[in-house]
Amino acid sequence: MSENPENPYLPRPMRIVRITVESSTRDTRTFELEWVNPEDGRAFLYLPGQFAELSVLGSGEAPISITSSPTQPNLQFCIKRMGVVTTAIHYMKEGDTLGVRGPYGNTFPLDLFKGKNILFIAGGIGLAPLRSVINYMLDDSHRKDYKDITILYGARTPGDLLFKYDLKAWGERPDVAYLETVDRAAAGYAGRVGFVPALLDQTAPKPKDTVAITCGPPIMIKYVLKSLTELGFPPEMIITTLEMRMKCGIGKCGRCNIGKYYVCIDGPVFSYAQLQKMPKEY
Amino acid sequence: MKDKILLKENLVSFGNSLIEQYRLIAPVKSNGFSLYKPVGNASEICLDYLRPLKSAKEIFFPQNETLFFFNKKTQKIAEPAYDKKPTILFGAVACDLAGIAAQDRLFSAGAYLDSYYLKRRRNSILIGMACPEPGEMCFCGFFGIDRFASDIADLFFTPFSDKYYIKVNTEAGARLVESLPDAAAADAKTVERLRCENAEPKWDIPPLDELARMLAEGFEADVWDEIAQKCIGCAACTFVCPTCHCFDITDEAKGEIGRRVRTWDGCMFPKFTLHASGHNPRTKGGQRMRQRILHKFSYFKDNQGVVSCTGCGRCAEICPVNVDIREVLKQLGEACERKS
Repeated sequence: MSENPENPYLPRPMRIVRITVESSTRDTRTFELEWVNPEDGRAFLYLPGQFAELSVLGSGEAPISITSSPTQPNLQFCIKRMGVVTTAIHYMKEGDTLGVRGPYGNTFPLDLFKGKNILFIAGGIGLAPLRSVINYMLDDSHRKDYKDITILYGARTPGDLLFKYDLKAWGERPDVAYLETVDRAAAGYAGRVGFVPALLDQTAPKPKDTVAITCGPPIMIKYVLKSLTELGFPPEMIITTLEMRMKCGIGKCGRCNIGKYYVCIDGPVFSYAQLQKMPKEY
Repeated sequence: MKDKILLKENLVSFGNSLIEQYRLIAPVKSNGFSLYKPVGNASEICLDYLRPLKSAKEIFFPQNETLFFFNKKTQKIAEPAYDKKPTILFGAVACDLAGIAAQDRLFSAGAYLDSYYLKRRRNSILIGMACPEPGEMCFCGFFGIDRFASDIADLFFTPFSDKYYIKVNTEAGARLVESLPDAAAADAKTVERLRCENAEPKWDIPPLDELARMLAEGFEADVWDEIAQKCIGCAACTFVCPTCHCFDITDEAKGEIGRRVRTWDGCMFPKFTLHASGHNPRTKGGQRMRQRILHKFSYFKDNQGVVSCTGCGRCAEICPVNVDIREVLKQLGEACERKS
């Protein structure tokens, strides 16, 4: 009875070392952070797919997926300005401090991915959590564990394509097939125009020995799931991540459940097979 | 551990002997209502109640609680001071003890322990009190809750004639009643007879295992919208509930100084699940009603092993538009029968 559990609600301070404006509308930025106290960093061991609660004292907390790969030195969060906390973060400058607690949630099923062809299908800011696992797989220490890697990415406009530095690097790699599309072209854009599910249909990837990993707006995911199923992907080989309104991130506050599953501890990564067993309430 | 006897006339002196070392919380009369409150003198304890207006959950899970104080400029955070004096909850009825048992599971479940809840709970002693007669809205017996006993109570009092029979369940409880006389075998028999005489009535609600099936099949049923029609989304039901544990975390600041607070929240509030994007997975009253009922009777059971309703009837009693959880379950049962 005297055992004193550690307080899970205390944020640990991190310093912003770099802010990258990602979108032409400037509403999406990547924040690269380093630990103020290195021992906090040693305790923060994460894998692709996980998220953290970001905290701005006076504004509150918001759950944000980790977009960096554990193979990279610093933590990165790609944040779209949406609510009170993300707006407060957007007002911050390099050198400012914010709080982080986590890592929370499950991870992408890396064991399932080993030895397979990997097909990524991302829309908009849905690339943020997938970028973590993409860069993890493309790291020299892991690339040999996976066969063909295909990345399909789309955004509303060319200016909304995020992580352009990574997109370029992926496009230049001989061991990656990278294809992008936009819903609407803009002046000076010579690339593909069309929705992500259409690009998927045109690409028509073979389901044999392939895992599909998708994240994006709900309407995109809906059509991607339909297309993948028509292409013959079994539901166990389709992986997606969900989001719900969250507060605690540790399965106590009762907010992010879909049926008996809590997105914060049972997710955010689910297979389509798991999704099919859930009540349709997300 | 031997069971003990306390004469009713000695209750006040027994209570006052506890106050020296413990923060004593017991039912007291306040504005005509019975409420669990800290007691300065044991003469304030009032046991002529069916069960207090609010459940006992706020003793360990307060309605508002500071998680930490902060300074925005220095970025320093400090946890609030914590009163190390142990708490005794005296006079808790069985439905409220069952509620605490459910919250114990939730707040200590999985990889993350809720330190705020557990430091209070682990520094507490529970003393239960037999509930002589279920109230109009009560249906604890439906869940098999014994009004005359509780496993999680350290001590459990049953009043009879001019005495309390004290069932001693733990060493911590035994230490509190060391100096009291042992109960006689005849006393134990008297208490057992009382318990049998007060056997539970039958309930015309589908039994729990059947309910589980109905809830699984009835997820898309129209009956949820019917039930929710009169609900005004005030979430009073969730606030008086002994097991409801949903909370919000928000910051309050004035200038540079502020605090992060957790406050009770409820799934019956329309904005409870509203995303920053504007998307809301539960926009309709029927969806929220379904969440509340399924969480209690299905999700919580799947995740924590127990149903998170104790039949205390407070939600039905407090509801301004008379939504009665027993009627909801009945309606659901009828809807499922109509369908099959």
